[in-house]
Amino acid sequence: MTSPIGLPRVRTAPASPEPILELHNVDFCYRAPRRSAAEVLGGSRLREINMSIRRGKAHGLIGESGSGKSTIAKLLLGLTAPQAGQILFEGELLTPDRLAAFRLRVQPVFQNPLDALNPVTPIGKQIVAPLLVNFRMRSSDCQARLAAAISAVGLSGEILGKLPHQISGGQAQRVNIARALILDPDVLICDEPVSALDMTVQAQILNLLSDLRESRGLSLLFISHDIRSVAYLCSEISVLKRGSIVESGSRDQVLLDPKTDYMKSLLRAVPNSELGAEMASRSTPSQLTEPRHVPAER
Amino acid sequence: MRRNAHKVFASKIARALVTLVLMVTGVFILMRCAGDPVTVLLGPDASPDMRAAYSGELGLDRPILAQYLAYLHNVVRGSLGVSYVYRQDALGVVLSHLPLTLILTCCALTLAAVTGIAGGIAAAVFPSSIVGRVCTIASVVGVCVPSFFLAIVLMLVFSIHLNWLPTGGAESWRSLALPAVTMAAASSAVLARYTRVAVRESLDSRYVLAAFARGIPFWRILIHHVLPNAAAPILTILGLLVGGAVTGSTVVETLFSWPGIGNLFVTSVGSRDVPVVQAIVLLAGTAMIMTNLAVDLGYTWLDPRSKSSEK
Repeated sequence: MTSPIGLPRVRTAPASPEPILELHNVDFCYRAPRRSAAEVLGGSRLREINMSIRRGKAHGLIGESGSGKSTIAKLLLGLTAPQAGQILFEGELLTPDRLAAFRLRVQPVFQNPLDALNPVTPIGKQIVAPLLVNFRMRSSDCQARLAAAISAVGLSGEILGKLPHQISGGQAQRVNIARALILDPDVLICDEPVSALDMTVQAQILNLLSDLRESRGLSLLFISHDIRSVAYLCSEISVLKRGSIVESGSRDQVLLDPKTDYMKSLLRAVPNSELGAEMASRSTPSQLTEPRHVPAER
Repeated sequence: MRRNAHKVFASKIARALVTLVLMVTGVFILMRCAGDPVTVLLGPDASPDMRAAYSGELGLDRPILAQYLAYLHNVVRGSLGVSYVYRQDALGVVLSHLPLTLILTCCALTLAAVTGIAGGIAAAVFPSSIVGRVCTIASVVGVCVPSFFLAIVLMLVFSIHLNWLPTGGAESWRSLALPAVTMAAASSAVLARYTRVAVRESLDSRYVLAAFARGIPFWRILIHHVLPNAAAPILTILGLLVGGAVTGSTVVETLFSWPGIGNLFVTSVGSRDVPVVQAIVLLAGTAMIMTNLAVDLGYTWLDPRSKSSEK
């Protein structure tokens, strides 16, 4: 289905999109030596996780720190295996022999953009590395894909020769997104991609992700503890508490008619207490719509 | 960019030269503090005439600044006086012992670098496996066991019980084995510990996680992502070990009667051969400063971030 050669194709999401990536009754617990204090205190033991990301849609995952959000991201990226339950990709069970092909179609965008880049390798080399390693592509094809990827995220070619410490956090996150896009993936797993960025850059990255989802038909899992970002970007939301999904549904269901006290308390904790009212009027929060006009960093 | 790099290199070389001058000055001050050279040379019973004659001959009757400038001039010319014991140029005596010390330290450091870095990588990559555990335990033991104790144990086992290797001398490669292993053990253990920490830190980083997620094979991640980022701290430790090897070989050379600089140093201190001691101290100090300079330059090459932090 995915063609590694050629420029990125444009996918259109069907009217009622089918799940592309699913977790079925997944249990997971870190081995004791790898557990952090927060995890030992009851955080990251995942229990009976059921979740599905639909093709061309953005799915939000919210929850407090230590609730297991990043562990779900690792499971969905195939970086760790569940102790029980199944992970399905396009309806088929994800098995170790399918992992290599799966990883090319599901790509990550991590929280601290500069940490996700190798400090001693130029940006251009880092973006193009997955192509060179996974496919025997000609140099001209690589360059075309590289140009398409950096232009898709609004960066100029100047950045390719720079090292990570020579660029800003916002540019670094765009580089991370370009590096994910160069493989022309079906799904982006965004693990708190804006939480380490300032407000203006946050809005730019959110707009970029939204535009990419629309133009390329990308499916997104957007992990965040910022409910406003999730509300802005995602049409479906799951709420995680201490390793269990306590609430799940469409954005309106979860945000306007929360069923659990936990979700209600999360909504009350949002600094803009009028979020509910704004959601009811079906408009995006003012803080998030405004930065659409902020020019992208180049 | 290139101009900045030249600037960084020039400043590092200038710093090394200043350190060299400070070290030479320090040696001059320490030698003057160690006691009157005329008394050392002639003994306490020498007559005042003899003392005055020797003071004049050695230039010790001149003002201290003139003595210092003359000393600097001699150091630059490589003339560090005549050995009281060998009746030859002190630097020549030291340089004649240098090749054997270099052979010993090169063998020991190569052994330490290969086993230490390989063991450290194995301990970091396979922390729960038998290989990883053995490497970790061996590195702890290697750091704890003093070299004189290890030397005695090795002599007992390989020379006395098994009769495979000689206990001392420098007749053949067989004489080299035990001192090289003894000297390498502690360096290898230190290097393994630092390598394990540096590689583990790099393996746990987000950029390695991101590389795994992009389907890059493990061996490639290790070579292209992990090792280049772990190289800087490893190089720093390696540089310190190389710099300290010249003086660090003293105990091992003495125990195994290896006729190198370390052994010469001990005998020269015993016979109060001040010019030879001074030459060895200057040589060892210069080796340390030059190694640190090489490490600094290598560090700039390995980690481009250090270049910008120097600006």
